[in-house]
Amino acid sequence: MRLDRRDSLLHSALGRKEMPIILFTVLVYAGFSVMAPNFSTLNNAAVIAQQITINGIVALGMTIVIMIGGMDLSVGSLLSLCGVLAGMMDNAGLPVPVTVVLTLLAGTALGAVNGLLIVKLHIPDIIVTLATMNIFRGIAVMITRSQWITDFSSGFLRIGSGKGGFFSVPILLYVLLAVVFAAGLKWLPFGRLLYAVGGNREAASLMGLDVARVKVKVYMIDGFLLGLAGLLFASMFGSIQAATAATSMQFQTMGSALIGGANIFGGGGSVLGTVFGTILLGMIKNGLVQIHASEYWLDFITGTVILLALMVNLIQIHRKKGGV
Amino acid sequence: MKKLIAMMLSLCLLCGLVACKPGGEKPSDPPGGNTGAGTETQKTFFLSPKMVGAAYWEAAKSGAMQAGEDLGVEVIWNGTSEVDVAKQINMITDMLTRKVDGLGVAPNDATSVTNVFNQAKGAGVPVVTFDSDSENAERAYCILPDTDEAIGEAFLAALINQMPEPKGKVAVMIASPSAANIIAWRDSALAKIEKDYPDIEIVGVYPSNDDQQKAYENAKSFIQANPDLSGILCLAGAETPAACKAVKEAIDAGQLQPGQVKVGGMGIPSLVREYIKDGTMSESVMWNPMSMGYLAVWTLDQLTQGNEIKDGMEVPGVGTIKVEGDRIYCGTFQFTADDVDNYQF
Repeated sequence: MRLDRRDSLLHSALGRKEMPIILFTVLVYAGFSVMAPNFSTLNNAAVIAQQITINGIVALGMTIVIMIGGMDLSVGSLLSLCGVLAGMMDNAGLPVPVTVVLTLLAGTALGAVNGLLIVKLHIPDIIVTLATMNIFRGIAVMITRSQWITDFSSGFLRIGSGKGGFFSVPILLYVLLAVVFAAGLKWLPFGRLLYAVGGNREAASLMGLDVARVKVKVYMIDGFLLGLAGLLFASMFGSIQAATAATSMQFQTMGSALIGGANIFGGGGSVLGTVFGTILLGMIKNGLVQIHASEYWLDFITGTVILLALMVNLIQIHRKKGGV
Repeated sequence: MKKLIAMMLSLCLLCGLVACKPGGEKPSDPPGGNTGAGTETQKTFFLSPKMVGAAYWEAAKSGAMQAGEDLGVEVIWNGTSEVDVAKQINMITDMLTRKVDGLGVAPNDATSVTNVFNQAKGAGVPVVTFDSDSENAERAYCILPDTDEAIGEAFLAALINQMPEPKGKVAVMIASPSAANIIAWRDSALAKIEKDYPDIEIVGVYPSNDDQQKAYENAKSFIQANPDLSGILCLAGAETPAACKAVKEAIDAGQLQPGQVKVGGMGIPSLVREYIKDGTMSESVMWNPMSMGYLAVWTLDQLTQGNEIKDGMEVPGVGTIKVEGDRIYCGTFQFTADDVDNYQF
């Protein structure tokens, strides 16, 4: 009897939909550890954790957007705009808490712009965010005249470099947000709503769900996270330039979410999967530097590993379809 | 459906307008706003930077504008808000149609500007390149900080000067592995190391593709991989502050000894000011983009007057210039904590 239960526990752990990507991440970790002597140290783990926080936070937003069948191409631009706004507010001498609150509000409002354009004009997400990707970046470049924004106050710099015990503030924030998102999706009614909306929008509408409202809210949450990420970006690097900040962010975070099992057509996706997707991408970047990969090969190798990771996911989907 | 398409189109238009806005800077308020007319009395030069906005290009612009004021010529400075080969060429073609008396270009791509330069030559408009060259195109002069070889060696010298002995592990950071000038600097620095500093071991060359976040991540990663690192050679502007930050953090975390890793190379004063003042780095090398912008306008002015440009000429506000063949060099300079505040770019 007891044996049976242990069996089924083991079975359910192995059967989790995130399992393939977790195993793949472990495999890549082992590979790099063999090839680079300093890769598997605790210090390096801390370095990777620090490196992935901004992408990780943005990927959480990307996950819920993809979950409801959306797509946000404007993440990098929105992040850049919030980052330079935060920096400029700090340069103008606003107290740090005020800067933080205003930046988060700005992010949320810009997210709402994305959401409202999508639902009010009935334009597909990918088109709206393609446009706002240019608009937000354009505004950021315009208001800064593309100058580097730097010379931040020590209070502002402490957001990105502060410590809470062994971990830095950004890492703690990321872990906290990931836990909140995972729990929210599982237990909050709104979280479960997202799966319903993404799974089948017509059915969700017929059931009386206000799909448009859910969508706008999701983009607002996404915007809030981008406001936070922009704040962390400016604070962690101590300088930010509107035109170049986070220019490939949309692909990296989409990569994290899709590697983590999100379904590009909506419905699927899990926070745990996305977190591992983010860890995997961060690890590859760090590992390739550590094994002294030639600079001409970096993009190729990264792309190949991403492709492999996505194929691992496909196996999982096929297994599900086959009813195994 | 029609309504939807109309809305989409107008949104695209809006998006295009807004995105173009920062690139479409006011052409420096020409008198009356009409540059086509009045060329009889005042010459008009069009200067096309690789991009507008970035502090480096803003400084070059202020130099060009200053030259315009000093020499009594009108300078139109315009470019795109990001590096874009096709848009730059379109903009130059547009300005040629509008008729200008001289063209100064910092080409984003050396080969693709050839046609438009030919077109300018056909119209009798003198062309100079600045910051980057297009050797095979029809341009009268190219204005550069120095030879690529000299720049690479100057960056390396900034690192070697700081190291107690020229030996140990050194990492090299570059922006893009396809930028011709950066690759030439890298080759020059590496050749010099091989020739004169046999005890220096290069652990790797790390490109950031102009992404500040990636430069920082790379630096953190190779410091982890090489706890016995002695130096970081930075061959692009955003790399140096990223390296300094990573080194400082590794010292704080106890992974590096203070002073163990020296950072040397290209330093844009406004970006490295903090690190040069707190001692993470004691010297850095740069050239003055203002001088380059100034020289571009000055050279065009000389050319339209039919003057010859000779080695050792004095240019007001720039100093003595070095001329080798069809290249004009404005020179590099070294700066430390004592004089970093003198540079506003």
